[in-house]
Amino acid sequence: MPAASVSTSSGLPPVTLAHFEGPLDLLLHLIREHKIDIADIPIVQIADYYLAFLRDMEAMNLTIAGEFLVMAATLLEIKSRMLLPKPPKEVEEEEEGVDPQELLVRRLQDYQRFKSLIGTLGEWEDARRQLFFRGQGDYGDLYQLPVSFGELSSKNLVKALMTVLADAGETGHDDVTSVKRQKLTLRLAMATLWRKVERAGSEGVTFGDCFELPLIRLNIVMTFLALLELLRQSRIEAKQEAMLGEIRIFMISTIPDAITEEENNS
Amino acid sequence: MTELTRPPLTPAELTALMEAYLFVALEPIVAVETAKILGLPTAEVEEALEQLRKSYAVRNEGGLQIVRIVGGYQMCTRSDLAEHIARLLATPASKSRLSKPALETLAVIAYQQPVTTAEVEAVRGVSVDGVVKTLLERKLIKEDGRKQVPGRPILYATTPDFLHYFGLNSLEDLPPLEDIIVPESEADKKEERVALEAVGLEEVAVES
Repeated sequence: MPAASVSTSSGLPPVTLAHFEGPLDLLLHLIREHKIDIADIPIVQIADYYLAFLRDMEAMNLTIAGEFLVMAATLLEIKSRMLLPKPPKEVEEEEEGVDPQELLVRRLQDYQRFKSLIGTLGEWEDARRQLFFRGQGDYGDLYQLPVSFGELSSKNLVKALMTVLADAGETGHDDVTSVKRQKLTLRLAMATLWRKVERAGSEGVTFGDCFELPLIRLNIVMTFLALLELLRQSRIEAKQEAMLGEIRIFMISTIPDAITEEENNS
Repeated sequence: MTELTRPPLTPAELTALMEAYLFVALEPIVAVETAKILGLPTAEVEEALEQLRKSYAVRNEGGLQIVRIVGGYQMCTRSDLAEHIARLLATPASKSRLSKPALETLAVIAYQQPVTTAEVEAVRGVSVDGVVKTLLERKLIKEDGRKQVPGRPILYATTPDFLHYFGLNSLEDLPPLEDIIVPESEADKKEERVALEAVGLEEVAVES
């Protein structure tokens, strides 16, 4: 987009020129503004308008995008050709295939057609957005890239957690309410989990085995948090080999000092 | 062969089957493909689908309609329910409409496909790299080989998603370019005035 966005030195808010889509847009505007027939453009006149416009933009401290300058050059070229005496006909035909003015007029007409099509497309877009289809999230940013094979999305982790929590619900020991000091800290949970994963080595630990028995809700949550934290720190990785298969946890690096220290302290 | 022993579907059964298929299908149903699977003449399937579409269109109750889209038939909600459906599905209604430059670029690609970015730029007079990237991400256009010229630039073409996005049946639904009348409407003028006011150049432009 030829948007020129500049903060003016006078402290005025930044001015954008995004409204004109480009030099053709600006040219069309000038042509319409001066009620000129597009097929028969008085090129000298329109070139002057165009350049005057660019000068005004410059005066207002707007940066002019390169595309606008290219158009200015084209206009000037056509203008200078018209001011020069016409070369003999044969020479002209040899030198150039297409008259640059003709070319410009054709470009303008094409552009004008496409520009007026925007309205139609916009209407279709709006009409279509009134319809909702089965299974279709909206087209556009809402779709999710499929997770590549062997990897898993965070959703799968949550689902696995829910399974473990459900198990805890049946055989869980937290239906008796007793208030006692909770021993398991996140760091301790991380250390326990890390040790377990480390011991398993290349075999890895299944998601279910990550959790210490007996299953207690708080401990499950702490272990899961520990899992996430270790994942975040890239010390372990989670893999799912098959669709809906078991999630296995593998270690990545060597024993982190911080954890072993904390473990000894607690 | 089982196909020989199976009694043929009556027209009523076929219509019922097509309705059921439309209900579960995630994509537009194309008569030719469906007919091939069912071992029926295409015309029969087409007829059944068209009958269904009409019967949904004439009845006034019910929240569904059947539309012709991307060369097939698909079931969708009635447009007058849009607002409420959007609320129920929690889809932000105003989300991600295409910008004007995107629409303009898409129009050029749709008419001149397969086309290179340089060719689109020649029509629009501005760089289209960013817009093309957005359109690719939204799957409205796709890469379609390379042009056999120096540099072998990538060619772009519209996708079926493009047709679906605008609710079109085929590219033929686009009006012929020559027939497009350039409107000299008030709306256009107003738009330009807004553009000029935004730049603050109104008086200057008139003077010059």
